[in-house]
Amino acid sequence: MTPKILSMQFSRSAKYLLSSKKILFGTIIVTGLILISILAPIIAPFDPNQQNRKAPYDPPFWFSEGSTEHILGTDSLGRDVFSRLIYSSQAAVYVAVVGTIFTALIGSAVGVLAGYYRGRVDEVNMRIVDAWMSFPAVLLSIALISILGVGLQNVALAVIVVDWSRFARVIRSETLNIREEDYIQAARSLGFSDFKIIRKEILPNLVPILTVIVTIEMSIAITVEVLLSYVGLGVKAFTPSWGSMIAEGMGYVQTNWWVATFPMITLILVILSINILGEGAREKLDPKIQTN
Amino acid sequence: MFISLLVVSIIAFAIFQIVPGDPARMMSGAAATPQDIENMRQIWGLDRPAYEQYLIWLSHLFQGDLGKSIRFKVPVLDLIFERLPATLELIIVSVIIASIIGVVLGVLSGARKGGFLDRIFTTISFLGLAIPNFLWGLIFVIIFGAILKILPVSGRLEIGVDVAGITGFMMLDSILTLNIGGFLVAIRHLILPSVALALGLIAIIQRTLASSMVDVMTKDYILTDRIKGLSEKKIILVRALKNAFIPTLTIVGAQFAFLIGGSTLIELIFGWPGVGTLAFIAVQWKDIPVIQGIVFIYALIVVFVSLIIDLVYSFLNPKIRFG
Repeated sequence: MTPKILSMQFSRSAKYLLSSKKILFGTIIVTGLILISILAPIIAPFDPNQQNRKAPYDPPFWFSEGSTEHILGTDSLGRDVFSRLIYSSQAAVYVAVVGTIFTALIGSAVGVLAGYYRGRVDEVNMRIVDAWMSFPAVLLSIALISILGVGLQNVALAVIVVDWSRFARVIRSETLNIREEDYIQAARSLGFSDFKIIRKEILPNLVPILTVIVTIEMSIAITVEVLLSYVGLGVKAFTPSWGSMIAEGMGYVQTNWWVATFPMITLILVILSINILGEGAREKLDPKIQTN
Repeated sequence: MFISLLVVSIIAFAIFQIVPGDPARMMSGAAATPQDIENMRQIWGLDRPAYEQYLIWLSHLFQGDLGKSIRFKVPVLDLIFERLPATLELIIVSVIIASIIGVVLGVLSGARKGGFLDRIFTTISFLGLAIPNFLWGLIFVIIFGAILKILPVSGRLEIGVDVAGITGFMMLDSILTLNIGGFLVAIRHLILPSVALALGLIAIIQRTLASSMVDVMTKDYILTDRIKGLSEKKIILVRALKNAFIPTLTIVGAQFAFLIGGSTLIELIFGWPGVGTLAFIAVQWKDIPVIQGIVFIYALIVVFVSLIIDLVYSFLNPKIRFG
């Protein structure tokens, strides 16, 4: 395919997808989040760890005691809540991107192999996947971090170790469906190698379902990062995270509610947007839903 | 079943093989003497190849020995079983709440697909599903504990209220000892954590039930019922719901791992003295035997629950019998 046709195809499918309001909205928020995480040093008015012992617990600017200097107030150490919110997106985006990419790669590889070759490969794989999924995800990630130690890389690793199995299961059952299609039989009778069939016929047809589960995985990865940071098993000290902000703010939420509440609102907005994106993607890409 | 258990035990064993450094030192804790570490190495065969270690671990397991806690100096299993009733009580109450509310919402949505109620409930379930349960827990703590101050947000009982321990299930024990005050206090403490835990499940039940109700409502036997002149209420509640129930049961079973995992954080947030809180204490103390024990026992529970669900499922639906 020439690059020109490819780019035409791309712009056409982009147009098709963005005709869904849900996808448009979700894409804007997700792109915004990624931009904010990259541009954090430029956008944030303060260093996220800069303490100001003279101004702890400053309320947001719309309160009479608040100031426009710290628009969302300060925490117990006088750190700027707004700047910390912005910098925290880096941890979330890192885990979402790294965690999701590797989860998708490993899970899809296992799923495609199991679904395509069936037989013993499938049996063994699915036994492992089933057993793996018997381990409660939250507990397993906590256990892993307790062994590996805290830090963003280990959080991403925990996401991958826990979630590859769900990917494998979904991709495997989709591959099982696809391999029964006539065009696969045709490709086989033309003498295509297994590798070529998987690359040329199976993988492209997995794209719709992959898009949907990748989106969901991103929101799960972000949740895991926040959750682990909340219990002190996520980011290292001095790396701002919505989770550690919530944990700190919950300690004095009765008197200074804003420190815990703003990161919670941010997290809810991000997760909801990604879920709306996922729902939009499912509506547009899943033929089973379209026909209904 | 046997193979699932075997694979689960291998995974639970294997995960803890990645402990960096000397596992004997790690498992003996920070305050261990060289003699302690040597003992640990001997008992668990930590200087032998991995497969031998696994067999040693397995043979201990069959004797009900999952090792000793570093922090509490007692057998891991004793520690877990002492706290398991609190966790199970929380989970069982959540499942009951989720089933009741989920079924009501699902039936109301499914009966009038696209109607006003359906749209409201679908939005609610979207929120219930998208927002993780630990966040719901925190939101509840802020709203009901900090602002409204109408419900307790910590522990199972209050100071001054005592329930004699028989089964470890606070609600059951207070009924058995005819302790009405204790029963009410126990229920009040259960409300917020169990609802926070139930929300995701409510959403899933609502969705599945609503869509399977839509399916069932177009079936011929429902049409026959209509022609026979059965009231709409009776058709929905008796005839349709019965058949829409099976997918719901499967969902509850499939979500059990999610539920028991989610309870870990809910326990931490609400100061619930169950196995989840124990897991966090163990993590803080690097109490590897306890963490490993909890991971293994939880996976075991999930495997057993899914077996039970399969059995109930085949009982309810004779078409699916195991060959």
